[in-house]
Amino acid sequence: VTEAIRELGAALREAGYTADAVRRLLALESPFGFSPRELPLYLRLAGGGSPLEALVRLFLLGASVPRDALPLLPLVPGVLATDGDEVRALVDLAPADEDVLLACDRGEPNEPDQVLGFSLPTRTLGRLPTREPIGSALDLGCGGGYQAILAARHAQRVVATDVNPRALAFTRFNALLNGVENVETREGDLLAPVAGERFDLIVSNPPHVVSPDTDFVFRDSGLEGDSLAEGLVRELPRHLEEGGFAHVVLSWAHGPDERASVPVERWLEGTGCDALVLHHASYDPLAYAAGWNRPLRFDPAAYAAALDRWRDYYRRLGIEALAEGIVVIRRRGGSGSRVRTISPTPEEIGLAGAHLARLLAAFDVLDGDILARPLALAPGHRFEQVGPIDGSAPPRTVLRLEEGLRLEVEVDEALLRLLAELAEPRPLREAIAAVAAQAEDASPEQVGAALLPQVTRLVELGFLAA
Amino acid sequence: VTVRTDDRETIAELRAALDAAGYTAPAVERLLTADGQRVPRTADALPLQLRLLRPGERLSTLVALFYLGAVVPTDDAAFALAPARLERLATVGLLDVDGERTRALVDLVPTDELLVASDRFEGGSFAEDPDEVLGLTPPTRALASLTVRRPVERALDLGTGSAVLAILAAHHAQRAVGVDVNPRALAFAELNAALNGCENVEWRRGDWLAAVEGETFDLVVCNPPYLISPDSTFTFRDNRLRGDAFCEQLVRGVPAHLAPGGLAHLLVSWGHRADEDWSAPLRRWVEGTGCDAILLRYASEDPLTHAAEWNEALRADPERFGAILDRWTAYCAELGIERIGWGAVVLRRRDGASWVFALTASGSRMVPAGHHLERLIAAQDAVGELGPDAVLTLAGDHRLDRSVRLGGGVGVLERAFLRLDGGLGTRIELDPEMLEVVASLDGRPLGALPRGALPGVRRLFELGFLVRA
Repeated sequence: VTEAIRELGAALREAGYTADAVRRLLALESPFGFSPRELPLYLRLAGGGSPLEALVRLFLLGASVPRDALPLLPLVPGVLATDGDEVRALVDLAPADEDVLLACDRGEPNEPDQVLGFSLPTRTLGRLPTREPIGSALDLGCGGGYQAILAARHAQRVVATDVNPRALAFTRFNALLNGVENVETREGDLLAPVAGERFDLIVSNPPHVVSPDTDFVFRDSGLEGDSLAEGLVRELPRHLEEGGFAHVVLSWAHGPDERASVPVERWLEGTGCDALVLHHASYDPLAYAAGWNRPLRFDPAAYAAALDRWRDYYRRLGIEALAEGIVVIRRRGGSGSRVRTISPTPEEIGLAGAHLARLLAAFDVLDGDILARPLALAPGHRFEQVGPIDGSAPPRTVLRLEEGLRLEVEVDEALLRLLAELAEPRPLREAIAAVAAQAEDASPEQVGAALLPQVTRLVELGFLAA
Repeated sequence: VTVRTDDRETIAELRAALDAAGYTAPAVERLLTADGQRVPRTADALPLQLRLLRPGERLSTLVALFYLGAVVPTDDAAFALAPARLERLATVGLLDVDGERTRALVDLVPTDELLVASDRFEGGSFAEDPDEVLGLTPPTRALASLTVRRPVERALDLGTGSAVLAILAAHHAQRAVGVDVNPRALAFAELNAALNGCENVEWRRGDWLAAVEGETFDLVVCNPPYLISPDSTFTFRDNRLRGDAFCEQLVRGVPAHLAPGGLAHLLVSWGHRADEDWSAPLRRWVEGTGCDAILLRYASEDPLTHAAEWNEALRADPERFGAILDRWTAYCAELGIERIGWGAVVLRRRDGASWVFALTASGSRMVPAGHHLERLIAAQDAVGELGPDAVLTLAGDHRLDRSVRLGGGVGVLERAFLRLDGGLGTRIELDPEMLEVVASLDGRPLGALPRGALPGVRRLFELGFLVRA
């Protein structure tokens, strides 16, 4: 069977079964635009005779397909079943990001131990680690194993854990499907299967939703309030090697008038770790409940009951605001910890390992003498200017990073003049002096004092780096 | 339900109650916002929307009744609607009062300019009544935004429905005529006129242009049942002619009802072959009408996508959804329709040889574009006569979007786009040579520009980026 699964993966790749091809065929507006309600439309869009269309009908649309319409595929038991000349798939098998093929359960979540397919949080999380060679990696709560497969491409060994044995079976299957050999699966709750072990990289999309329900293993932890988030942020540092990174998708409560990162800062105290809170959004309890119960919305009575139950639960716990985001933790030794919040747009985030490294290095740059630091604009920056062509009004300028977290900030003309001096690495003091020399009557001290807050912000966001 | 309009006093009291409670578009929007996100007006969002309301408060009660179609306690309704009395509102046909529980029989939706009564909108689907009357739909908003708003004498709204376009036209016309074949629509039209204090529209029941036989107008607006489909389920949506024949008849018929210089704005849909230009059928329709024409395309799609979009409401029933996709695509195949365009035909009656200008609109269809349309018309009138002495200058609403990278200490221009702020959202990429020409127009006559730049400059003039100095 092992060999057959590998062959299945190779055959699908050979047939051009990629995320882009599927998206084009089904005219999806985004990689996550697939909607089960559109099945009749998709069946017609993929109704032609090409092998790719047959694969889409078989593996994404749940249709029976004549065997001779398909490219040559090994009939892996438990995955494909035959009925006369027809073949049907028992699971979904979808092309994900970065040429990963991912099998998962079919349809909208309705079983407690359902294993979910590729989603936006999965993609975002997968884009955060650097791809540098490392020794060990952990995918905590691995589900279908997407993060484990990505990690296996640059780690010597990967441990994938889940409390749901069906998830581990999918992970093992998907590893084989993607030609990955160095993933070890372990069953158990949260960090229990890796007690006493340390890793260079930990990635985790745990059941982080703050909810009164325990309907879904992938969503609900069964823990009170946000104690899953607290427990992980407190515990993960002990499982990181020196210099190691943890990237974990979390949801937590914070005061309505308090910065979202405040609880994370408290939990990290004394761990010797720096952290970045990639804060996607904070919600009021009703909006949060509505978001996570969207699958129920076609059953108004159940939807209304869930909204009330969740809202009552938050009231009882005194929760007034709920944050969602990814916490990036880096162990650096010692006992202090520094935390910064960044708010990227999840849909925009690209491969961000280098950008995150700049953001973490910024802690040291800003703790030292910033004026003495050679700084330069980061690769992948663009200035977008909007204004009248004749210069009758100053243009509005937005500085954008087209790599990493794909952040943008508005810059004014004075800052723009300074940035023009920082195309190549150069001590900030020199660049400021150069700007002052061009100005009519401003000393370097005045220019520096005026620009330093904005320069600091650009370092914090990774636009300027040492 | 058919609404009555004879009880003017009650309608006035209803309007007063809505005003007193602050029942306006921004207020409704604020109320139905969860966490800075506007909750869309779809049926499945109802449980969430109801929880955003404040029970008993007047505005919340009105939103529950007239915006969400929810049942509210009769006491709350009476409190929110005073001084109007519930029993009289029931007689007018607006409320169903059932003991302790009251619900609205119509929608009342505040827009930026009007308060619009229509049949209940069931979140994306309609009750399956053929004579359903819709409120302010996106296509109607698009046409309202496109319309040139100049003072005129006589205006006509053909197929007026809930009368949004007629009432808006009546703001800048001395007199207007609103025509509909559906008597329920005319009842809503009269109700909306009364609710919005509009008194200069004459309502006529009749079949399209037959209702205005022998009359001419300075302004015609029409959002017809333009849908290309094998069905004839809804008066507002479907017509009984094959393919796009109804729109063709309309485009050919309207010019006879335009006064000299008069403008018609018609929403249309048309079919064409994949290998012909999208504007080819429309050019055939306007030929010989004695009108100048601007052909505007909002979108075009293949028949399957078209069928899927128009049958959104059937998604919950996969079998019916699948069947209708097949029936609609077979219908298009039979008519040789490979692409379906949607847009507007703007006609201007004028003596002499007429011109045709075709353009794909790309921006929001909801921002005012009448001024841009006028600029396109003026450009077509003048473009043939631009001599070497003509001086063109950038329109005040132009914007330049530039993307610059720092390299070797200098800014390197990567791409530049010229666009218009608002209007039809026209946008065009400029190469470095063209950028330089445009940046240096500066009162120079066309004769002083590099010869090679003239076709590009002419194009910018036609698109409304350049105007005569």
